[in-house]
Order: sequence, then structure tokens, then C-alpha cells
Amino acid sequence: MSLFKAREWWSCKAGTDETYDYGCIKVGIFNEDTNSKIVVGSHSGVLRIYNPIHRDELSDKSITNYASDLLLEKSLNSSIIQVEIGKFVSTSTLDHIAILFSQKLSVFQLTEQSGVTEHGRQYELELNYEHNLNRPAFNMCKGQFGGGKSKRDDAREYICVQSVDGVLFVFEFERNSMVKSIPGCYLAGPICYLPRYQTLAISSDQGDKRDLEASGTTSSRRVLPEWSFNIGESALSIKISKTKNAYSILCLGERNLFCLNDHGQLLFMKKFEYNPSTFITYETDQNNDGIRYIIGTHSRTLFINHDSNIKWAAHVEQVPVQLEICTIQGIRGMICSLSEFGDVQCYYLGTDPVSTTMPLTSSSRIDVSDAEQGLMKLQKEIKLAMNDPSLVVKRKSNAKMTISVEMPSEKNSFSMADEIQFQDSDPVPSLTVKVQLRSSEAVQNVLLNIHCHTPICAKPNEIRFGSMGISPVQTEVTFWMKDDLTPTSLDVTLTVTFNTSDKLSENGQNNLISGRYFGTGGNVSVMASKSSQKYRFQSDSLANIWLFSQFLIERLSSTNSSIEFEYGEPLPYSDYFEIIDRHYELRIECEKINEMIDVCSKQFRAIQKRLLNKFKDKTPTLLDNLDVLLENTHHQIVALADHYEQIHLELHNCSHQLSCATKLINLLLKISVNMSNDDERLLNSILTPIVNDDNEQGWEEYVDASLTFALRTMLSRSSTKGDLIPASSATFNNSTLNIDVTKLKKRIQMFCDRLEKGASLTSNSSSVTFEEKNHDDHQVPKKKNIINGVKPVVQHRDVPSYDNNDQMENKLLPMNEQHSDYDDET
Amino acid sequence: MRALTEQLYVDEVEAADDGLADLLDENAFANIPLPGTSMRQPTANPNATAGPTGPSPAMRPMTQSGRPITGMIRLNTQSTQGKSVENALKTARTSTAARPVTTSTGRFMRLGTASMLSSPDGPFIQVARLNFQKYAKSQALARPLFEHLFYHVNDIGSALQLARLANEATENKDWYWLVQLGKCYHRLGMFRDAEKNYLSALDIQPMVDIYLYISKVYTRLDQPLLAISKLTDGLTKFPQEPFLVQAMARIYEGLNDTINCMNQYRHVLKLDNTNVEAIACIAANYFYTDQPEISLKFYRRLLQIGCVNSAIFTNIGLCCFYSQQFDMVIACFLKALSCANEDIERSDIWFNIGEIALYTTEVNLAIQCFRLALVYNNDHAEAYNNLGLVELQRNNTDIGRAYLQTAQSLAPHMFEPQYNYAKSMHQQGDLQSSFRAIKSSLELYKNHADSKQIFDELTKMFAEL
Repeated sequence: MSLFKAREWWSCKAGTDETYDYGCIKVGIFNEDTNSKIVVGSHSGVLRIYNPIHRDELSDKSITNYASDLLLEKSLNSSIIQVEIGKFVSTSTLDHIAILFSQKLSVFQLTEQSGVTEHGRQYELELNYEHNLNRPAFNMCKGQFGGGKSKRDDAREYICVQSVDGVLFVFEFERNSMVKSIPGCYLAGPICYLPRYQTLAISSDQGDKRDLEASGTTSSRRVLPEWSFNIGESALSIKISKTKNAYSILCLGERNLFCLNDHGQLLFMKKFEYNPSTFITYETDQNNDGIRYIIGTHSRTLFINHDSNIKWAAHVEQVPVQLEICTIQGIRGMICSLSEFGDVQCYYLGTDPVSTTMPLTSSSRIDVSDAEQGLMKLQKEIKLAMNDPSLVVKRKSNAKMTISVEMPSEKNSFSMADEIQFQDSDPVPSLTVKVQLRSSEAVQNVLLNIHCHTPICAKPNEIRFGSMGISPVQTEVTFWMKDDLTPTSLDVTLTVTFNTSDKLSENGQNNLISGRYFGTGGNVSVMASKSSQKYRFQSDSLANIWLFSQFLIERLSSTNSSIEFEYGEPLPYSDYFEIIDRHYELRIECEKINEMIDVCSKQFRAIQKRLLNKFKDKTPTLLDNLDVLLENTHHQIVALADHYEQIHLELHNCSHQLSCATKLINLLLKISVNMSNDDERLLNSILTPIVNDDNEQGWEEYVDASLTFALRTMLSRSSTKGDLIPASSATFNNSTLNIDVTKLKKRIQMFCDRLEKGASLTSNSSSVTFEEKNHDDHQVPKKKNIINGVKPVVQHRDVPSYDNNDQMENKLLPMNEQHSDYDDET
Repeated sequence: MRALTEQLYVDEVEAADDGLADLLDENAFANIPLPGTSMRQPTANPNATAGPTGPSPAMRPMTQSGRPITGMIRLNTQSTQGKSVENALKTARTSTAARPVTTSTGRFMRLGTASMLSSPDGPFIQVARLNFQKYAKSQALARPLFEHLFYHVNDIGSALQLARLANEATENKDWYWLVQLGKCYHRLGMFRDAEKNYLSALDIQPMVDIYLYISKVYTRLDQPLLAISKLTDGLTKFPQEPFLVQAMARIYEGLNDTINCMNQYRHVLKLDNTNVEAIACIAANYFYTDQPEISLKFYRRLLQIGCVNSAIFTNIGLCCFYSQQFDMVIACFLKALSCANEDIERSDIWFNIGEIALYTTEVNLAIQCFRLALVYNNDHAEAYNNLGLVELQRNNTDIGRAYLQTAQSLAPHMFEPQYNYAKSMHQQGDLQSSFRAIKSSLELYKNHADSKQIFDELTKMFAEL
């Protein structure tokens, strides 16, 4: 992140497809020519020496490499690890080039042979001496090892080479004066020469920086650290900075920069929020009172620092692997950088803003009138779209949706049933129905929902049509039985929703009846009496009768509208109450198990918490068998849950039975007293056949409350029958256990009795309409009755339409128990 | 090995996402802390009786955890730092923010597995087969190995084992191993042990990182003041370190102490004037304290130093608008839209455009913009709120109410939809719902005058009944 760019003064590209690393560039002056030369050695073994000369702005920018800038290019046939410039030859005070190869150290002299003209100048590299190394070299540093003892010594510089495994070779010119290995070093790190104590600063691979005494000639002992400082990360580079009176060591780590004095004490450190790649220290001539250094980062920024403050940040084009500060053509403080792929650049700090790539926006000039027209058009479209009836919610819609259902003549030849939850050897029969949707106008988001009652299931149960035109849409839906429960109803509700938010629903009817229920195996038989017009239902369960009786009535009345039904028997209370008892018991059991699970899981959590505390404790203590307890509790919970599942399934089953039975009771009540349709609806809501076990409030509570209310108000014998008396005493308790089932049963019985005596639910005048069994004027005249029950009898008075029996595809089973209590009203 | 580690290196100072499960532990001292000493009171300031020191929530939007929005997205700002588990669970589950953060370990585990997947030949080092005893003796091997275990393999248990052995080998003298032990304990959630190790490491060698680590521990232990005092200690040792100041600023921000926070961020900028976080935070603060011109300068600076993203352009656009430099507004938003890479960003940009359209009374445009915002991010509660208001104004009460209710359910931390709902209900005469909504609005923001007014009116009316 920088505000300004570093300005490029000179640049060139050294070689193609060659790589460079730290150490591959040096800037120096080799002869009388004071212009600094840049020496670059690549990993491919090519040494290049440049003489940077600034070109005018006017000259062609596209050419970056000028032939005359390159003084020398020579392949040395072995990869160059590091280049160093210094006074490495005893006989000369000129600077020489030391080049470190992987197995060899060579010192060259650069000589110039002047020609007649400027172009005639020739540069040559002359080998001065070379040392073969028996270990692979890692890096090197120069320094006046052994101290500047005499005047002459000031001018000489020795070379110290470090091998990859941490062995130091010190070369005094042509002589190898010392070989020492650093103890405990596996991988070499950066090194640097400290002039004051004639020591080497070495960062070892384990991340701490150590200072090793390396007395040039006399040392015979092992190399021991003078002091060491732990920086806790691996060092990238070490440099020395000379301030007024002291040397300080700067060490660039991967995430921090450390500045130590030469006794190994931390002066300051600096944490980076970027990834540094390289750094260099430099001194200025005047006002030399701080440590100055430049850090190059992988985010292509140069940070110029003074002590621990950032003074300037400049953006560069390439990630630098090495920086050099030099004086070129008399310009001091030129920053010379080398990138990984050989881009050599000389920068100075300028105030060019960083040209960040702004996102392009279509900058073509807009014709205002055109744009306005376009905008108008678009806005009109948007407006239209917003008002489009097919898109947006519309309150008054006259779209009409018609659903027609086409029943197949017979069931599928192959069962399409899927996901059946009971075992049966026979394939479950299935029925595929064609559903056709027809709409009077185009609608959108049409969704067809098929809802059927639990044991029956439909597939697909939700069909999405997207949009629909006037042409009809057809689809197929398959029905089959999923659970082995007694079906409560064969009604299917088809609901179509579309974007007018109106719901149209039509009920399609389809049916499949047999004498034996699929799955449950409940048997029902319908017998028609030969002598009297009675039907007689027999079954081993009250619930099973419901569907058959319902359909019988329906079909009989459809064939002959003048048919009349009657039921003269007492209602089958005992069987009904049995089912209620069973249902109630199961509910209580469920609740009990729930409570136990609650207790167990509380215990489980408590144990967990104590165990956690024990584990967190500093001093480990015994577990006190808590683990065993934990496991046992877990098993208990799982067992309880399994049990619960089982009970719940049973409860579900029982609820269905209860629902069936309630419907049957209601039906019987209705036909026995010839109830009006309004009354029937009320009855169905009071003694509701909807049994829902998922709520807190169960069927018993609901029915109890509504019964109490009904008995107190509409069916009340007192004079205040018309008034609505709030059912204050009704137990609205949510708890299952608070309901008294015997009371409930009594209430049901009382309720039914009163109804049978002719009390009406709708009319406030609850005068006994005992005799009034005919003529619901607004109804289809259907009189005559069917009577049924577990031990029941059906009477059929008027039209002996026995052939109706044939319509029921059934397996009539032999009656289990014969009852002779035919109601001989005929 | 080091290269593999570097691939996945996350500065431990930055990376700490408080998990939901972390709320379950009882490390915090007081359940009902004194005001200003705990970070666990999300809306400490607006409800404080002493009067708010910073901008009120009416001016400055909140993040989903009920903290004033900050200038920069950090790992921690997103997390649910609710008061309690219940609150954390209650935060609306929207697709992006306020994901009910699972435990921190789970998150780090994912980092670890991701690294495993990337190496096709299986893990680089079979951790189970290592003999830590042997490696711990050799410092040169133990350190890279530890970092590999900690960052790459993400096997904190083994790393801890190695660190412990190495620490024994160095006889508690090496600060490096003490810090690493502390880091391991920190990750494992044993904050007291971590604190101990950090403190002894500080005794041996003070380092910037250690100060940051220990302040992190104290923050986790919900002792922000102690954390600040530690950081101040660190600053006396390293007076020029922007990181320490920045950490302090963040803590102050967490405490809703805006004044101190801004001072600290300014200090950061004095030390390092390219610090993006500091610039962004100061800019955001100026913006929300009604000085968009100054804020604009800071954002421009950010743009100049190379932060080019849609958020900056949006912010500049908004600043321009509020400082009445209308010529730039559209251009900025256009640029922001072309910069945006993610749907969330786009939805925010469209929301802001819609906001501007509202101020310029372009109701239709505003509706279109809010709808676009909802297209990109269907959980944009603010957009729902504004849409609701616009619809209410156009007398589409049903739709408006539905929008407001959606906003309420999406952002239980915002008082605006509650207040708006209450007001519209009040106008329509549904006093009961109005009362209910106004109560929850006041719960969220105690000193909201308009809410109070409606509340008083309603209570008076109810009392009369």
C-alpha cells in the first residue's frame, strides 16, 4: 500500500529464462571510471556487467536494453550463487569480483582495454585465483578477519564462505586459512561480518541468531557463540548498520525485523503486516544518527525506514530479491533492484501516483434524448410488469381453474407403490389417476397439491407447472397405501394454487374397497337380510366398519334418492370407549417416557459437566466411575427413546382407529336422529374425528372441553339454554393426566343420549324433536336408515336394492358372530 | 516443510474466531460485569445511563451481533459475541453473516483438512510415527517441526506434546517454546495456562507478538482493561509499534469507547501512515458523526494507496452524496457496481443507491433498487425495512407491514423495523401490536426518543382503559 511510485531511472532485462536470487547483484567501481557498474550473475552461470546511463525522455521508450550499456557478458559454465566486490587481491587496491559457484570460489579482475574510439573499448574478465570447495557452498561474506592490524590491512578484505551444512571456510587471498564447522547446524543461514569484534553474525537454521567468534588465524578451538539471541523465526537476511559510534545488527525475519546492538541486546523490533523479500541498510553522509534501511516486500512495495518508523513507501514494478544502494553518474542514493527473473532497475523516489487499475465503466458519451427515450421505455415495461396480473398479487381475479379427474377403470397392473412401511407378500395395489387442469386465463406459478389422509399416499404429491396457458395441462398421480392403518377417509383434496392467490379446490373421489383392509387385515362383512330390509355389518373392530357403512350409504342413496336410513340400535359405546381408553393410556405412557427421558438427559448432562471439570482440573483425579455412569445413562436414554418410538407408533395407530370410530359414531348419530346438515357439521366439530397427537392438547381434552360446553349451552335442560355460558369449569388443562376419562365417557354418553332424544345443536329451541324424522327440506330426500355396529344390523326398508352389494369389490367373509337382534321395525 | 507451513500461515494474532461453544465455558469472571469492563454487553453504550459517548445507533448501523459497524471487516467482527448462549442462538440465521459460529476448533479443523486435501500423496509427515522425545532435543529440528504440526497438520495435541518436551529440554529458558506452549493452550481453550506461559515468556524476552498474544487471552477472558494495560506495557518497551496501538484500538472499539478508539487509530496512523484499517475506521467514524467531507478525504486516500474495491467506491459515493458533491455520486456507484464480485456486495451497493433515491424522492427508483438488493441478497433486512416504509407511504399497508415483519424477523438486532412497525400500527389503530413492537424497540435502544413518545402515549391510553 503506497501512495507513490518509485520512478524508474534505468532498467534492463538480464537474460531470458534465467533466474536470480539474493546475492546475485552487486554494484561497484572497478577503475578510474567513477560511474558505478552493476554486476549480475545468474543461476545459469552468465555474468553480466552493466554501465547504466540515463537516456533522455525523448528517446524511444520501447527499447530498454541498450547494447552499449552492457559492458561484458560471459558464461562461466557453472551456476553463480553469489557475487561480491572487494579488495580481494593482496597486490592491488582495486576492487575485484569474487564469484561463488556451488563448488568453487573464484576471484576475477575486470580489465579495460581502451580502443581508438568509445565503441572500441573492451572489457575482459581475468581470473586471479580460485579455490575449489569440497562442500557445496551456500553463501559468503567479506570482512577484515583478524582485524586491521596495520595500515596495509585496511585495504585488504578476506572472504568467508559458508557451506550448506554450516562449515565456514575463511580465505586469505590465495590461502585457505581456516575451516571450522558450526556446532548443531543442519542448514546454513545468512551470515555477516561484524567489524568491531571481528566476529561473524550467523543466523542458524533453527531461527535464532548467533554471533560466532571467528578469530582469523589463531583459533584452534571449536567455534563457540559469543552471544546468541533468539528471534523465534527464520532469518532472511542480516546486515550491519554503522551509526555514530556503534554498530547495530539488523536481522530480517519472516515476520519481524530485529535490531540488536553488538552485545546482543534488542534495540527495537518491528512487526510487519506484509511479507518481506529483502532489505538493505545504508548510511547517509550527514546527520548519521539513526539506522536507515529499505525493505522490499512481496507486495511490490519498498519501505524506507528510519529506526522503526516508516518514512516513505514506494511502489515498484517487480518483487525485488535484492536491493542495492549506489551512486550512479554522480546521483547519490540510487536504489538498484533485481527481480527473480532478471529485471534490473534503478529507481529514485518520486511522487508519481500509483496508477491503480480503475475498473472500466462504459465511458461512451450518452445521447441524452436517446437515453431518455430508453429510460421511458424501460420504465413503461417495469410498470407493466409490476401491474401484470400474472406476475403480481392481484386481489380480484377472475381466473377460473377447473380440475377434472379421470378415473381409470381398474387398478394398475403393476404396483407403483413405494416406501411401504409394512411387510406384505402381495404387492400393494396402486391406482393411477389422470388429473387435468384447465384455466380460463393464463396463470403463473401453478402448484398442484395433492393431500390425502395418512395411510393413503400419493405420488407425486406436489406438482409445479410454472406457467399455464389456456390449454389444459394433464398429469398423472398414483395412489397407494403406505401404512398398515385403517384408512379414515378416501377423500383426496387437490388444491391448485396460482399467482392470483385464490385457491380453488375440488375433491376428486376415488375408491377402492374390499372386504378386508389391506395391511391391517381387518375384516368387515356386510350382510343383507333376506327377510327384512336390513344390512348387517360385522367386523372384529369398530373402526373397520366406518368406511363400508359410509360407502354403502353413499351408493345406496345415489342409486335411489328416495332411500331412507334408520338405525335403531343403541350406539356401540363399550367398543368406542375401549378405543378411547386405549388411546388415553398410550398417551399417558408417551408422556411418562418423555419425563423419564428428561430426567435421564439431565443426569447425562450433569455427568458430562462433572467429567469435563475433572478433565480440566490441573491435578488429575480419579474418575470415580463417572465414565461407567455416563455410558449407562446413555444406554438408558437410547433404550427409552426406542421404547418411545414404539409406543408412539402404536399411539398413531390407535389415533386412526379412534378417528374412524368417532366418524362412525357420528354417522350413526346422524342417521339415527335424522340430523340436518348444519347439525352434522356442528356434531363433527364437537365430537371431532380429527385426532392429533402432536399437540400438547390431545383429542381427549379437546373433546371434553367442547362437550362440556355443548352440554351446558345448547343441550342444556335448564331454561337458559339459549345463552352462551362460558365453559368456565371445563378443564382446559394442557396436561394429559388431568383429564378424567371416565367423566369424559359419561359426557359422551350423555351428549349422544340427548342428541338421540332429539336435541338439536343448531336451533336454540332444544325442544325434543323426537318424532320429526322426515323432510329436511333443503336436502336431497333420503330417508331410510342403515344401522350398524359391531354387533349391528342394517335395516333397509324401502327399495330392496341388493344388487348394490355387488358393486363392492369385496371378499365377504363368513360372519364371525351371528346376532339375531334384527330390528324388526318393518 | 517450512514452505508447506508458510502456505497456511495465519498470523495467530489475527486469527481467532470465537465459537458458539466458547460461550458455554465459564472463563469470564462476572456474569453481570460493571459497565465498561466487559465486551459481552453488545449494546452497552446506548443503554448506558451516563449518556452515549459515541454516535447513537440511530446514526450508526449495527452489525448482526449488535456492535456498531466498524470500518473494516475482521475475523472477529462477524462473530456472534452475544451475552449468552440464548442470544447467540437467537441471532437470525441468514445466509451470510452471523452464522452461528461453531466452535473455534471446528473452524481450525477445517483449515487443517483443507491442507491435507491439497497434497495428493497423503500427508507429508506421518505425525503418529514421530518420536517427539528425539526431536525435542534438537532445537534445529524441533522448531520447524512444531510449526508444521501447528499450522499445517493442525494437530494441536501433538504440537503441544512436542512443545512441552522441547521446553523441558531447554529448561524453561527459551521464550520461543514458552510462547508456543501458550499458543497451544490458547487454541485448546485453556486460557489460564496460556496466560501463565505468555507471562513467563515476557519475563525472559519481551516481544511484540507476546504482548499481542496475551492481550488476546485477556480479551477472551473478557478482561479488556487488563488487556489494554498489558498493551500499554508493551508500548513502553516498543514505543513505535503500530500493531500494539491497533490492538488497543480494536479493544476500545469492542467496548464501544469511540473516542479512545479513534485516538488510538490516529496514533497508528502517526506511526504508519499506510495502515488501511486505521484509515478505514477513522473514515467510518467521521461518516457516522456527520462529517462526510472529512470522511471522504480518508476514503480518497485509501483509493490512492491502491485499495480498489467496491466497498471503497460505495463509501466514496455515499460521502459525496452527503457532502453534496452530487456530480461524483453516480460515477462512484457505477464503478462500485463494476468492481463488485460478490452478490452480497452488489446487494449492499443497490441498497445504498436505493437510499439515495429515497433522499431524492425517486420513490420508484428506490423501490427498484431495494428490490435489486433483495435479488442479490434475500436476507437484506435494511432493504426490507425501507421497502416496507415506502409501501406504507404509498398506502399499501398490507404489503408494507409484511415487509416490516420480514425485516424484524431477519434482523432482531435492529430497532428500526420495530419502531416503524409500531408507528404504522399505531396509526392504523392496532394498538396492541404497536405496543408490543415499541417495547422491543425500546429494549434494543433505550434512549430512542420517538419510541419513547409512542410508548408513553400508549401506556397512557392503556391506563385510561
